Amino acid sequence: MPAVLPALGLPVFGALADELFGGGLGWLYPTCAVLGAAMAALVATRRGWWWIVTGAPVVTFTVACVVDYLAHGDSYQGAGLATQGLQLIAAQFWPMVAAVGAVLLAVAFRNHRARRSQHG
Amino acid sequence: MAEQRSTRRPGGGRPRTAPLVVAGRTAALGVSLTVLAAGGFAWYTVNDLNGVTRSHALDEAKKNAPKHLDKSINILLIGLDSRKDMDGNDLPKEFVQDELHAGSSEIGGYNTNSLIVLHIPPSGKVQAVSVPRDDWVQTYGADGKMHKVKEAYGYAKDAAEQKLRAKGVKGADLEHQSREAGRSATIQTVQKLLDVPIDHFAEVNLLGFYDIAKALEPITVCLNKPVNDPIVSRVTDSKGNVVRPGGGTGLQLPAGESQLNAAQALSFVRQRHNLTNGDLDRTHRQQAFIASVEYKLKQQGVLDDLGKLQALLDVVKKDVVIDDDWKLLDFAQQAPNLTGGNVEFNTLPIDKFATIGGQEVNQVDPAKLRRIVKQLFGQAPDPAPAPAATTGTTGTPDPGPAVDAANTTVDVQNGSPVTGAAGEESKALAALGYRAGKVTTADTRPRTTTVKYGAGAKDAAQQLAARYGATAAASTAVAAGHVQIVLGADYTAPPAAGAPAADPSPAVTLQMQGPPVKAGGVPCVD
Repeated sequence: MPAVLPALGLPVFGALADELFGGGLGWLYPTCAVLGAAMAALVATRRGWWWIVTGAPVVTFTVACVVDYLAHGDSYQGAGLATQGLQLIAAQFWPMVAAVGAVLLAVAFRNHRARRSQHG
Repeated sequence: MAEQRSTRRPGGGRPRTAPLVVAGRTAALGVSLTVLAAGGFAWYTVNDLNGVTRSHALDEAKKNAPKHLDKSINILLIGLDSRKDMDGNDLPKEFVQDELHAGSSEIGGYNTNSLIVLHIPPSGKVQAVSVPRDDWVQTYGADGKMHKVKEAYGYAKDAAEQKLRAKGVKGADLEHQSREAGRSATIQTVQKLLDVPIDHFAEVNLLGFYDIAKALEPITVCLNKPVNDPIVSRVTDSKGNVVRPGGGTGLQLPAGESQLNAAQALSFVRQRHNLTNGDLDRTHRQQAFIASVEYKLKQQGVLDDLGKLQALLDVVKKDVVIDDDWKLLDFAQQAPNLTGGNVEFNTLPIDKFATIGGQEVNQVDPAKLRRIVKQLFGQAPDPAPAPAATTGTTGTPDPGPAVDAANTTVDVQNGSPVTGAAGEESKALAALGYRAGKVTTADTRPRTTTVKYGAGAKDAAQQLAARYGATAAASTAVAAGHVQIVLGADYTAPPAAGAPAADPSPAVTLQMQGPPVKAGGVPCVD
């Protein structure tokens, strides 16, 4: 499975599901974003890890912004652009941190497994 | 993911990464860190903004709140005249006497000396109504008796304090929890008195007011006449009985504009002696002061700048209490709407002064107050006064079922002699959140306005019918989800929330206590 599939697909799925069934980004989106980043790190090549680690917060942030803007564009007009935008960005901080953390954990797990198989 | 390009070192060592790839990785890292930093900053900012002391006091009031007819928001501003800090400790004696000019730390209880309901409609003018503090009303959440509206807080707090003390609660916890009861009683009492839902509240005490004024001083105010309010000392006998109550704020100002420091500002809003209309003039002072502060904030760009707003909140957050449901960021979004002359303050009328149980009080007619407030807020007045009104109690009419205005299409036909009435009415209803339907001229000229509804629109039709004093009737000729209004000869345009400039001041035709105080500058008052 190419790494890009979980890295992008899961966050997009989570965001769309949240907007469609929850009326706004809820718990499903950050969960999918974190899972997607971790899965991507598990299936990526070693050379791809750098891009997964640095890309996880950007993907989490961008998908949230695009989907929420498409779903609630009217609330981003005028003064809402600053306040709604600030709220949206603030809400993505911990999911972004969690996504990076999940990638680093996945990388550490793979390294550990690789070392054990080398020594074993 | 991205393809790695590398060149193998001569001698077969670790492959060297191509410069382009290194540049790409560096750029990706930079973008990633920037996004993370932006998120962190936003998170910190939002948390800091919401760091004001929160309260659950709205919970009880929300259970019995009348329904909203539109997307307006009602905010109750509570000015608490207490000489204690949030933990119940007396404010320093010197500070209370010399800076606050508020007498001794021992006097005064927990009176809500300023009660203002701010009505922010989806669009249009913001209305602010002050409830005079001595209005004699039925209290709720306190002891269930008639009291001055300002005393609901103190009675509820005292009752809660006794119960909590019996449970072993003490110290700051006792103060915090008992104040919650006071806030809840105040909100419930005002909500029932005016029959409008209170969505949010903000409470500021004497110290908080002083801190806000300190952060903003000098503040420009304007007086119609010069004022001299000397301080009169309180005299007690050897047993501590009050022989002569103290009074006066020490305020001395000329007519016209003056620049006030924080202590003078407090005197300006607290003066009640040496004023033609006493306490009622004090209410106008409070309104004028808020208007002046708002004007200053606008001039300094604070209301349009989240950073400056945050800096101001940092100063006052320790003295201000707001409900736990209020997102200050949302309010920051609405704050610019509160400027530029878009707010008008009115004082609810009293019927007469009276003395009840040795207390000087304002007698009010709750039913009349409700009608005025509803009209001022652009809602249909109650068709008939509640029977309880004549006895001075504040029974609440059935608010009726919740209405899904956004999914109700309203078709308006003009059968009235007023040209363009259907179009205007359609716009007014759209401002209330209803979906605008067909606007046509009726084939007939009915004497009274009629309201008919299709399937699924009964609740909305009943609410709309109340607006015209009509009765809603089901009709198979009306499409599902539609309400059909035929304006009759009896039609006179009701005020609409968010009605455009055509009706700049609905209060003009309403009986209020004194002239309105208009924001958008520095209004002059007595």
